[in-house]
Amino acid sequence: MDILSHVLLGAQILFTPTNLFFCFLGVLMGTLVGVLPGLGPTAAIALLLPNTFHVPPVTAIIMLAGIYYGAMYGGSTTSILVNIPGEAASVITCLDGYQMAQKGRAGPALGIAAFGSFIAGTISVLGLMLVAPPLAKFALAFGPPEYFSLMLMGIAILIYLASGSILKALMMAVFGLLLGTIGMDAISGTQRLTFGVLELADGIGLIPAIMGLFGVAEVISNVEAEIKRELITAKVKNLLPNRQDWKESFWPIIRGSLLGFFIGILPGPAPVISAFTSYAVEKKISKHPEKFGTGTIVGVAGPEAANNSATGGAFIPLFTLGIPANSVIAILLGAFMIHGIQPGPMLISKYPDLFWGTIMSMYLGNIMLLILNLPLIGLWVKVLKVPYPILFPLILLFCLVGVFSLNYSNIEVALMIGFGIFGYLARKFQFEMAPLVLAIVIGPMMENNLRLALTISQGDPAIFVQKPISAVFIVISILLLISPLLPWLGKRRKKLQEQVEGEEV
Amino acid sequence: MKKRFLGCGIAGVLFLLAAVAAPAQDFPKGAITYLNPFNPGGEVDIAARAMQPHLEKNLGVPFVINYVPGAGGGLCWSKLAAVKPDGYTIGGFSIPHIILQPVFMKDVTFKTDDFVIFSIVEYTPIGLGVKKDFQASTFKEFVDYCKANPGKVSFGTSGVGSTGHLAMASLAQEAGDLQLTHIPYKGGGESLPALLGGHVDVLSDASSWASLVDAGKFRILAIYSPERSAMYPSAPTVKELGYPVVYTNPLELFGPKGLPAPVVSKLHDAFCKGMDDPGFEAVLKKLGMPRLYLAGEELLRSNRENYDRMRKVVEKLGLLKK
Repeated sequence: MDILSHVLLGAQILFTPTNLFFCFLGVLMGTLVGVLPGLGPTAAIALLLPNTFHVPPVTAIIMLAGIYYGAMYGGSTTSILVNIPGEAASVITCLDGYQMAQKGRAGPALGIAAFGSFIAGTISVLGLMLVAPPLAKFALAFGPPEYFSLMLMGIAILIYLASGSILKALMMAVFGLLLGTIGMDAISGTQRLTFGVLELADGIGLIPAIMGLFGVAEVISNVEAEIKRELITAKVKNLLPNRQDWKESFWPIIRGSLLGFFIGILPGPAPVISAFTSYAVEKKISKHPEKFGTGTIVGVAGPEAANNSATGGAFIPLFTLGIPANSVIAILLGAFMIHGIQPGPMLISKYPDLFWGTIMSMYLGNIMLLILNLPLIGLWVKVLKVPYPILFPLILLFCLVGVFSLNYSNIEVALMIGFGIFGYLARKFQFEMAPLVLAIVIGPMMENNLRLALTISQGDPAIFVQKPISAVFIVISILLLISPLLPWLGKRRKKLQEQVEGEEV
Repeated sequence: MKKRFLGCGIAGVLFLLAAVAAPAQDFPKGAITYLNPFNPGGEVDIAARAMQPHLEKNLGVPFVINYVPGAGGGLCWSKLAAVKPDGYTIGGFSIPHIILQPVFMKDVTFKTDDFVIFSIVEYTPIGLGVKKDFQASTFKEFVDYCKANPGKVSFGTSGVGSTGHLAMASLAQEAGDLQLTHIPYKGGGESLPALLGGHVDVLSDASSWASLVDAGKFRILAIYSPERSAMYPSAPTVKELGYPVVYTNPLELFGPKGLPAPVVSKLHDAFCKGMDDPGFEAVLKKLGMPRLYLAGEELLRSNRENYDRMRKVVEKLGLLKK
């Protein structure tokens, strides 16, 4: 009853021509910045913020939020079509999405990404509406030891991201962790491995690394290899997922949505981590883990759902506590203040119109995004027909502009090109990029939280098992690391048995 | 109002310090570029963009905002220290960064003395606070509690060398060598949940906690501002409690050393006029930033004092660069 009246209040606010228009504007811009590699929601929202001074706060928030979740729809498009993630959160989508496109199934891949995002978006809005306050408490329970153990689990799932050699995947992960040590040490303020380059004080940027490893490297490899493209384009047939696709994708989408939502509540790069985790989970529980990396629709559905619902989860600490979970939400927080709204625990009760108006706009925004994105699939698939001599310079241009637009830094552009050359060489030797990217994300957080936790415990490592949440993560990590050995042990026992039996005969 | 104009007048003294260069009476002739040391969307950016239209009106030329984020602002200031001092490139900065970075960051290429400062626009209050259910409910009880539990009390800040860190370190020293554990987070977005979740006992940070005060979840023990805050009039200042510890996070406007005096005074007057505009005042009020005006000798003295004081604290903390 209470909820119903709130929903009506929200609808009342949303269904005015102005707010509907701004909601549409937001999701449209979100889709666009999502599709363009490098250009992300953070930059778009930050630059548009001052232009919202003149509209009412709820209208501004509706639009800015639309850009944020809209970007997660667009992010997968380039991952699937050209193996270049439009957002950091769509890195993992490259693995199977691009393979699907290679097999002529770009349409179903894009389709399931859109539907998956829609379902996940809806689930996370429902979660935001119904269980926001208790979940905020859950987020607060995470301190340095909990974060460290969570990151440890992230390292443990690395082995599920590799479709080729585990050894090579681990080498890439170690390299990523090393790269993560570059920059200012957050505990002592010392600058490490910066070689006098001030731009490196903040560490290696994730976006230049991804744009280089995927975008630039992709362009270089394609210049080298004259791909049989006719083959790809000729095969593009059905644009939507078929019944079999749906059957395979349904549960991964649901699992991905829930996973993304919970990880999204925690501060940090949640969309990225949740997408990686979802992929690992699906691979772990799949009956056909060998299909991952060869173009299975499950590898697209789960992660795409996860990164989308993570954006919904990130709104929980904002609305319930006034705490920004990531840089995009931090800018939204600034938007609240600009409009004279004090964010914090009283926000929902003090400004119900703002909260419920925004929630309702998210429902509608997700529907708009679905309607907007489905017809676009046909258009996007045509991108594959653009001749490479035109397509690749364009991709390179977008990468350059995108990376430069982040921090207006030439050094980052150079970094991207460096990563591109490295990525090209690494591919030649069959090294995979996903473990490297995950390690770059996790490394600094893991180190920082390890040291903070030990500072809090005054050097006693027992803190990691004394805290219950942390202990659970550690147990899961150990199980994850042991589990691949179990069948191997089983097989070995069987082999031994056979051997023994053989000898007996 | 009168005081401010007086301040504007005094400001002229400072400008004599600026080296006399080419005649600059006809300044400005073209667009002025303002280097913003932080990312778009932050408080510094919002204040600058609120000021932008007033400056364009007062100076009659476009006022372009460029973003040079990175290294906590150090990148921008290193660049600004090297530009031609003609008044067409200026920037904004905040204390203590500009003072601390040359002292403890290895790669920054500027010195605090490399700049001419026109004026301070506003500042964000820094405060010391605890969760509602913490054992100590007043500042005095807190000090006693720390003395009774040496090494047990942890304080969260938004980073090593942040204002909150220095302020707390100075306070611990002044209050009789309190033994506290510093937990440096990355920004208020991390330190605030850490306090609410009980991972640290005290928070010494810029006003990211403001929203929690109204909700009754956060108790301000004291603020480091020189005067009580209009928004939290019941919170005492550390100074009035008997400890000579005053810290704020002021935003200043400045240019490279060697700006011709007429240029400095023109820029300064344009800023002064912009600050008086009710539209700009309204934006600052929404951001919860008290307006502060300092210029001329007063400002110079204040910065010099800050420099000496902060350098000592940094030295004591073992953060001086080698």
